Amino acid sequence: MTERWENEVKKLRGFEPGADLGSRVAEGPRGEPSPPARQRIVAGVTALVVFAAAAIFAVRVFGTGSDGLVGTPGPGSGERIVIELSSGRGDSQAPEATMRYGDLEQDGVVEGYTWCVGDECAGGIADFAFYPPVSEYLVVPPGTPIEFTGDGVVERLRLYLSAIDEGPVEVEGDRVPNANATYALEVEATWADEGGEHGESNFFFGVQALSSPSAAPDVLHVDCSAVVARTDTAVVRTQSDGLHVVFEGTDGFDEYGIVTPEGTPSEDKFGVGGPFPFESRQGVPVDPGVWEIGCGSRDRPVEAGELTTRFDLVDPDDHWASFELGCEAPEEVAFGSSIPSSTAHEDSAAQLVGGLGGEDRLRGAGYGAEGYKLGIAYVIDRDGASVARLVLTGGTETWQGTFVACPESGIALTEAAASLSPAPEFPDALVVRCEGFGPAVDADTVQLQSDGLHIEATNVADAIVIAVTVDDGSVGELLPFETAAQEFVVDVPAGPVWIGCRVPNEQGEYEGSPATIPDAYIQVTVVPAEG
Amino acid sequence: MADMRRRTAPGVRHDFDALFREHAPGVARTMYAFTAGRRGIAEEATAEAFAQAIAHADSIREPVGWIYRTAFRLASAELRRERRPVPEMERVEPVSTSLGPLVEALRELSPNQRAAVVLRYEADLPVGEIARRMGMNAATVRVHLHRGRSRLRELLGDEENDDD
Repeated sequence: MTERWENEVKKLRGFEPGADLGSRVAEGPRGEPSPPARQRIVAGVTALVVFAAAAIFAVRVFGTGSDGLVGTPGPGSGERIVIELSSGRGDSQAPEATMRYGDLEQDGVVEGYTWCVGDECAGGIADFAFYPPVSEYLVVPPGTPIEFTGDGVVERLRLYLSAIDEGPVEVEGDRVPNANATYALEVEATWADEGGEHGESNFFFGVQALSSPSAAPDVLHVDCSAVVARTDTAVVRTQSDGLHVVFEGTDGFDEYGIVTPEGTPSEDKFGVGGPFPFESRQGVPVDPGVWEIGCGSRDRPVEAGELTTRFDLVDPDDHWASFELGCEAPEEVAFGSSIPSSTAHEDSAAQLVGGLGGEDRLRGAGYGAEGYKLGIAYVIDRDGASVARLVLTGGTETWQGTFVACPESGIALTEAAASLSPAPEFPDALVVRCEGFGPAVDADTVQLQSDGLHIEATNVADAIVIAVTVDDGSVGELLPFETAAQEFVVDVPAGPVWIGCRVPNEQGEYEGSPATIPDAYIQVTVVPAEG
Repeated sequence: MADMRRRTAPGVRHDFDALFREHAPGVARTMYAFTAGRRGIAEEATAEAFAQAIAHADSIREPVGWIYRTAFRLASAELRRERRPVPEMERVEPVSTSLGPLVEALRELSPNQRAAVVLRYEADLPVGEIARRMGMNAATVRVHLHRGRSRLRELLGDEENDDD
């Protein structure tokens, strides 16, 4: 025997889809409901991680300050969670609820409500109610009290554990439990009759209890199989080599993406990505700050705000150092040295930089000196801010590179760099040889001339053009080979430049860029012209 | 229907003709319930999910769950596009007389509750399989089931009935 409602549900077995369903399938995919046009920022995913140094630092404006997910009040601040219940009386609107903690705010998700004006009652069922996504949880200290304001009466407050692999377990009390975890709060509220209006509603909120950033998980779990990529924490902390992620439910997805949040100005957009399977033992060297993560496919690449989930990467264990200096610094200067390049770079860096105070630390930029493509980068860390930077480049018998320091920092190059060796003389033309395995160059640093970068190219393979670009997401300016050996002059600014040996596809187009086909390009550093 | 088998990628060999015959009606029914009677959205989400599955055949290991999750995502996007918490009668398509009371009741449930109830009590699936198809954990499915059952019991009655 079954209950009546069950019999009603079973009547659905009589529902048959239209006869044209099969022919519609045979037409092929029409695509997902199209989002607003956005600039794609994960241009390619062939490389595991593609960094553009200038863009990395733009994301710092989204650090763990007021734009982060972590509220201003810290543990022990005495701050309370305040949930305001609002009826919208007079306008016959659905009740609303807002949760606030410090400077953070979260709207309650309504699962259902009833609102009556006299004998006329309206009801609503929210389409996507239940827990808010963990990425939207407010981060609060364990044990934070919860209080209510507004014109509603709380009939029941329930808390559920809501971690990704745990079920909803009811927890009693009017405060956040005294344990680090993620919790969903359900509030059932009523509004007594006043002027003929009364009603009831229930709301869901989410909080993540964290006693300190150090208590945040050091691995971000991402389940791709849900409608929106689902994470298990709003805050994750760095490991020594960056962000560690474990992806689940990747069936049907080709790639992941970690991108700057929706709303990032286009000039500051940045993303890293890679194909599945993802090597979870390896850290992704993204800077601390707020990011969005998602799973994509060849025809639906990851874009911020499109099925992505936000998270805050914090660095309580000081694994990361800013490449960018915390001051307005003068231009970098190039230097040479007498230190053989066979000397370990960490020892060489220590010999090359002087003037450090007792608390200053010479350390690798980012998550380690070798994490950046632009050379081996060190910074001087003073009270958590970088005040000088040393970038070492090889390619000669002795170490050379560039140096910049904040004015009045007291940090300077030592005699090992400045006086023992004159500034290096870089070649005034780059010799490029297009070989079967890609381009080869005779130096990794070249000096600009008054009319641009001079390239002396030899084609010993099947390259049709030399491609030159300062944007690793762009194929670059195409310089056609007309003879096997040819000289080119191209207008580029000082800085990193990618040189490629390229062949067109069957349509005569040049697909890909240094980011997507790194083997076809080689990077060199162009230094300013003398005088 | 058109032959879909030829689209299957070498090495994977999912028989999408057979999958379609076996599962398309169930997916469509679930989407019909999930959207509370919006036949157009339900059928388009079903068809598009199968079409996408065929297009991604070489990278899908478990096509049935994948198709359900994709259909849920597509239908959700359409529902979200409407941005209206309460379906209004004039915006939804008429339903057959036999399904009328059920669809009316389903409109009082959240979409996740509707889907969980239908997959459990119409398709007779275990909770673990429902979770796989809905892309959520089993505990959350149980909560949706509990709430959905309670609400349907209120709306449609709980008297025992052995007519069926």
